[in-house]
Parts: sequence; structure tokens; C-alpha cells
Amino acid sequence: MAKHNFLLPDVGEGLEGGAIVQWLVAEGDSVSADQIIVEIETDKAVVEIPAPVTGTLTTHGAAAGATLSVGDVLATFEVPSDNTAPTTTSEPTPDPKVQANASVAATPSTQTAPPNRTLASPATRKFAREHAVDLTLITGSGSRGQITRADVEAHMAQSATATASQNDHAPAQPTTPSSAAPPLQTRDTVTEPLTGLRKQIAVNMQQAWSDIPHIFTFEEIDASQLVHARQQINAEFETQGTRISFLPFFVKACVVALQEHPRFNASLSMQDETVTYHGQCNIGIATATPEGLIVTVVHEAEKKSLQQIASEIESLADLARRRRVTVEQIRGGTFTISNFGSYGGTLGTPIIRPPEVAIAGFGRIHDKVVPIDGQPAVRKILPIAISTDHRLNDGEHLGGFVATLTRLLANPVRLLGHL
Amino acid sequence: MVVGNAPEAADFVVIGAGPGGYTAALHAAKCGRKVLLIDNHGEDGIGGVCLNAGCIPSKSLIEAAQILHQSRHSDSMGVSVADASFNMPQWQTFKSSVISRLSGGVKQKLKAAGVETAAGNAMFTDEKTLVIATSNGQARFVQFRDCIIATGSRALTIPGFEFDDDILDAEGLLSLQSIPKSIAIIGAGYIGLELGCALAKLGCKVTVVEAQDRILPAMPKTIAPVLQKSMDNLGIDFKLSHQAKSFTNGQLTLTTPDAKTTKIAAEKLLIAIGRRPNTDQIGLDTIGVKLNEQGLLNVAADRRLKTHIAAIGDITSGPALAHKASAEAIVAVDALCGKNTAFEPQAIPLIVFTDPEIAMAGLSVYEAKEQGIDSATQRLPMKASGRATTMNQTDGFIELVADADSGILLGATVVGPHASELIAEICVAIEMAAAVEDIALTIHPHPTLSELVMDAAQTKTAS
Repeated sequence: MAKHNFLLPDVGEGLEGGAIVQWLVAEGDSVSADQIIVEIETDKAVVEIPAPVTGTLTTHGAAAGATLSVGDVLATFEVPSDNTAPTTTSEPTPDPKVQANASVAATPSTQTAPPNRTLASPATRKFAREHAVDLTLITGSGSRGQITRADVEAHMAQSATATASQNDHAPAQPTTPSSAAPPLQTRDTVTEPLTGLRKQIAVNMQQAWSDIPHIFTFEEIDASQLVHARQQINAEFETQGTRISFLPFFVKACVVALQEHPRFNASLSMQDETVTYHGQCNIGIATATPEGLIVTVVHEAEKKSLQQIASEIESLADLARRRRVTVEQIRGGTFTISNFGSYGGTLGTPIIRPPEVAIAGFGRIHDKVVPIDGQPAVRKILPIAISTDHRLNDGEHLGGFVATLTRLLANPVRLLGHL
Repeated sequence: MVVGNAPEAADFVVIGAGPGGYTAALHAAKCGRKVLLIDNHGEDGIGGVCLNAGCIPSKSLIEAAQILHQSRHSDSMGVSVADASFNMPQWQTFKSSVISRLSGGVKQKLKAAGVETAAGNAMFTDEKTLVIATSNGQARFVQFRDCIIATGSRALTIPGFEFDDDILDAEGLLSLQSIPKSIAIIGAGYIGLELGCALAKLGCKVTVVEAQDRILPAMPKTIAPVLQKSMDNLGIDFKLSHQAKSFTNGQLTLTTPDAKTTKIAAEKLLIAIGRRPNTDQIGLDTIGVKLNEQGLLNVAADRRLKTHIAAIGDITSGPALAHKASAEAIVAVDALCGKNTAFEPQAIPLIVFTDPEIAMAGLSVYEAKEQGIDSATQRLPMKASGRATTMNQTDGFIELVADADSGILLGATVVGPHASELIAEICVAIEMAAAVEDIALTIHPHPTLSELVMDAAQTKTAS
């Protein structure tokens, strides 16, 4: 047996380390090379780390929740000194699928249970699957360690409480449903380290806010025609079951406006004293996740159709929510859109993501009484808020950009010329 | 895709209308999906081999054979029936009425759920599109959002033996208009033995040929002797360690264990050596899906092959059984509807409808040992059952296998009358992680066969 120290590898560009989310292999368990052993949360995403060798994982370098830097010992393995020698510690688990395969020939095996089964009823297992709860992390309350649905719910409530105290937004679920109203009480004051995604957001926002002299402008766009156009387009694609939200229209309008106003699709470097006007329009889409905002990037949006943009946004948002975005999918943005209307917001003051120089915020489309030819009329109003970096763009530039956006979104037929 | 064939859009497509396919179609419809169910035989294919040519017809023959057999062998109970006989054309009428009643029920459910059925052979042209080739030569292109492949399996044959009027698969046998005077059955697996028992009871001279040295070669050794004895009593001959070479003019040529040649006379030949998955005509190459070493599809735990394509039933790993396919159908539909789910049964029951019946679930004592589990068994003979004694059917036993430390039930084998029904309770117990003691302390009705499950649980353990 030889000892193998496995150091935390560089898990992504420029990332200095990460926090251990959970160990998927316990100390003393045998692993095969490339088997995922641990999930590490970096500043941007959760990364799965595979075992580098086949052998026995003897010790974890740190417990779940701890932070490690690149180069720290992540885990220690014992590997057979001679690869051909059988390891005494690792009993190969028979593959039930292979075993069960007498099957199609005459008389099948009825065996499907893995040797170390999780003791839980089918309904409990289904419930756990549906709520993405890993039953192996739960100690069952049954007389023989069986996990009940109540055990799973208690585990979920515990996780929710932990998440809530970390993020200070999600209400914790009660451990058990209680018929009596909960007593009024003061919550405990808790201080905890700022880690992971939240810490990264904090650093980025502070830097952006202190470095960039923001100027904002707000506009209300008559979106009646846009609403109608979207209905028509969705009717067109109804048979395919796809529905396009407003966001891809906003992306398309921004791309056309950015091509008309390159000063907004630019990067500013005070250090090099340069301004770079980007050829591609790589549009960042801010996505709310339970852990905080992640901006995923639709690269070269100018080359993509409305439908392509819609499906890309959807899959990126899904990956972001599951913290499975790759570094490539969050890099290289040239302009950002924040769709705060999707969670009910009317107006905001979006903060620019350096080195970008502008960001567009879209509010909720709502009915509003507006004067039309001196008469009150009800129209669909889309509020927008645009921020730009005053070091590069003046109010006049901003006015021009907003006018283009307004022209396109108020008259979506004009967008057709650019699709 | 062929130029000029604009595909129509389909939300949820199921290929194959067997127990897996129609269950998937119904569940998908229940989940709010618009379902298109495609089968080679269209509406006539609903229910698949199981309902139309396999499980259901064979059980109705087995039932008829048992009634005839009991009417002739119940003198000791004071029952004598003069001139008991079997009318096969009448049985065919009964069989057809059973099939049409059951398939009618499924058709009605599919209709009520708004499932559209289409007849034809479906093939993938790419990962999103299928072409349905109908029997009248039309091609219908369908672009789907989600698809489940549930094409099932068909009877295997031996090189040199082509199915015809005399060389039959189970379906062919169950379509006969009269019971042959003699039959040779190649394959002592469950299909061959079930039909062998029934045919012997119906007056046919049965010879079972098996290449291996015992019947039910894929099952634990403890089962074969009980069944072999009972089949010997039915007058069934066995040619174990024999290989079939040819069948001409009612003569089956066999190679004996010492490499000599022998012949047996048989009016018909039934080939029941197993089934092969129907994976060859659905264009799996075009979607980049390869078969594993067993010729089956490697699916994920949630039965998906691709993001929007799943496979279930006989074409995936595991026993080729209708109830496994139906259970997979629910998982596959849920997965394609975006749910986090997995096919993870602890016990898939396996039944052999011989006389006595055999039922197994979970781990056998051998399988437990192979997995390094220290197990203990508890066993009672069927003779210990008051109810079995009153039925005059005391061949068999119940054996429970449990984890030696915790007493948690791992599996069971039941051999005896209605073993197929008795195993269900054991499956529930295994899935619920019950201990043998839980069964021992559960009051079972008296006098019943099920009582013996409790009695076995109360016996001393043997390891």
C-alpha cells in the first residue's frame, strides 16, 4: 500500500480555492479513479472533483463547510503499491445490472438491491428524489435505522434553516407541521463568515460601486405592440410547445442598439488607459439563484435567432440555479441585462459589471393610464432603467442609446429588419 | 430526414404498446402530456405480447389444464368426474374473449386519456424525429419533444430451426386448434416448463430438452428437485445435458452428453430458449445509441438514454417481465416530465406458473452470499400449512432470507399452490425494510396459505 496525497487542483480560471459542499465518499471507502468524491463550491460554481487514483480514501483533508486553497491536501488515499495486486480493503461491488442479466435468456434473476441498501420505503425514496435529498446523508429514526418521510422532512427543514441563515432570505420550513400558531419570538443573532458566491458578489459590487461613476436614466416604453407581437410569435410556435418570454426580445433589442451605439458595448481600462469596442455582443443575463445572483453569458447574441436565444437563456438559467455553469458560460460578457420585472420590480438602479460600461434593467410590464391625443388611454407600459459608466459615456450618449431601445421595443416590427 | 417531408409536431411519443408502453402512455397523459402511442400492430398491438400472445393466454391455458387435471385426480377427496375432457377450439374462443375484454379495457382507458394510437414501424431519423412506416407504405414524420422506447422482445430460436407450423414459439403453441399428441420442448426455463406442465395435464406426451444439467438452470438449486418430482409425476420426460440438432418428419435429433446422437418422436416442437430484445429496427444508430454486451440498452437510473429519450422493459437490463416494464414506465415518464426520479426497486418478483408454482423476490441465499452479506434462512414445507393440506396440494416450501444481524428481510422463495399471490406480501415487506420479526408479529388469517409466511417467520433461523 502506498499513500497518495491529493492536492486541491486548480478548478477554474483564476480561482484561488473553494469550500467543501459535501463529501460523496466517506473515509475508509474504496474508490475507483474518476469517481466523483467531493463537491467544491468556488466563487462561481459548484465543481465536482474526481478521484485521481483507484484505492481507499483514508482521510478527508477538511470537513464539509471548510475552505481550502489550491494546493492544500484535499484527501489522502491508500493505493495498492502493485496495481495488479488485489486490494484487501476494496470489495468490488457487483453491478446489479450485469447480474440481473440472465434475464432475457429464459430465467431472470430477481435481485436488484445493492448490498448496502438505504432502508426507506418506496414512497419515502420517491419523496426524497423529488426534493433532491440524498438519503445516504440521513440517519433513520426507525428501529433498524429505517428512514421515514418525517426524517427526510426534518433533514430538509434543517438544510433550509442553514441556507436561510446563510442568505438571510428564505424562510425556514417548520420541522414538523404544527397545528398551533407559532409563539412570537426573537430570532437568534448569528454571525458567520462571508463565504462562497455571496462573498464574491460582495467584493464585486463594492468595487463596481466605488470605481464606476454611474449615471442612470429611466424610461417608460409603450409595449402594447410588443405584447401583441410576442403573442403572435408564440402562436406560431405553439405546436412545438415552445414559449418565448419577453427576455429574448429585450436581448435582441439591446443587441441592435449596441451595434448602433458601440460605446455601450465596450470595456474601459483605466490602468492601460484604453477603451475596447467589442465586435461581439456577449449579453450577460442576471439569474437569481438561492445562493445569490449569477450572470450567465449568451455569447455572440448578434448571430443568434430569437428562439436560439430563448433556449440558451433557459438552459443557462437552469445550470445556474443548480450551480453547474462552467467558467466559459459566465465569462466574456460585454453588456448585461437584469430582468427585475420577472420578480415584480418596476424600476431599479442596476450596477455595472466592470469592465463593462453599461447595464440595462427591465421592469414589469403593466397597465397604465397614459394620454393619447389628449385623451386618457390604458397602455402596456414597460419601465426600463439604464446605467452607464460616466467616464466613457455622457448623458447625451445615454439618451441616444435609450432612444434606440425605445424605438425598437415600442415598434417591434422594426426589429424584424434586424432578426 | 428526407427532403420534402415536413414533420408534424408531437409532444410525447411512446414506441410499443405492450405493458410498458401503454402504462407510459396513460401516465404521460395523466401528467398533462399529449401522447402518440405507436405500435407495429396499431390498436391490435395494445397489450403487447403479454396480453395478446404471452402471459394472459398462457395463464388461461394453465388454468384450464389445472381444472381438467383436478377433475381427474380428486378421487381421494371423494370427487370423481366421468368423461372430463378438453375442447381446444372452445378454449380458443374463451382465450379470445379474455384478450378482447382486457385489451378493450386498456383501449378504453387510452381513449379516455386522449392518447392517439398509430400503426407502423417507428424509426429514428435523428434525435428529435421519427418516421413511422405504415403497412400501406406511407411514411409519417413526427418531430417529438419526448420519446419512450418500449419495443419489447421476441422469441429466440436456434440456428437451423425456423418457426413454422410444427416448430413453434409460445405464441404459435397457444394458437393451436388441438392439443398435439406429443411435443418436445427445447429449453427448461420458465416458459418451457409452464407450458410443459399444462400440456401434460391436457394429455400431451411432453419431453423437455435442456442443454444444461438441470431444469431452471438460472434459479437456485433448491427449487429444481421439487418441481422435477412433480413433473415426473405428470409423466414428463427430461433430456438434460442434451442439445437439439434438427427436427424433421416428427423426429427431433439430439446430441447426448457423451456426444452420441439420439432421436425422439414428437408431433410438434416448442422452442422456449429465451427472448431477444427488439432493438434492431428502430434506428438506434442514427441517434448514436449502442447496445451493451447483452444486446440491451444502457439507460440511466431514471431510464433515460438521452435528455428527451428513455427506454424501458425488455430492451433494458434486468428481468424481461411485464411488471418491471410497467414500473419503469412510471419512472421514465416522470423523468421526461422533469422530475428527479429513479428506478430503484428492492425486489422484482419472478413467477413460474408450473405445478407447483414458483415465486421469488429479492435475494436468494446464494445471491446474498455472493454479495458478502451474512444471511440466515427460515423455512417451512408446504405440508405444514393446514390450508394446503385441505387443498391436497402440499408440494413445496416457503423460505425467507434475512440479514443475519438485523433480521431485515432480503428475499424469499415460495414454491406451492398460489405462490404467485403469496409473494406480493413479501415484496411489500422487503420494500418497507421490514424485519422477519415484523412478519412473525403480523396476524395472518387462518386457515390460509398466507399464514405459512408468518409461520415460517416464526421458525428458528438457520444460517
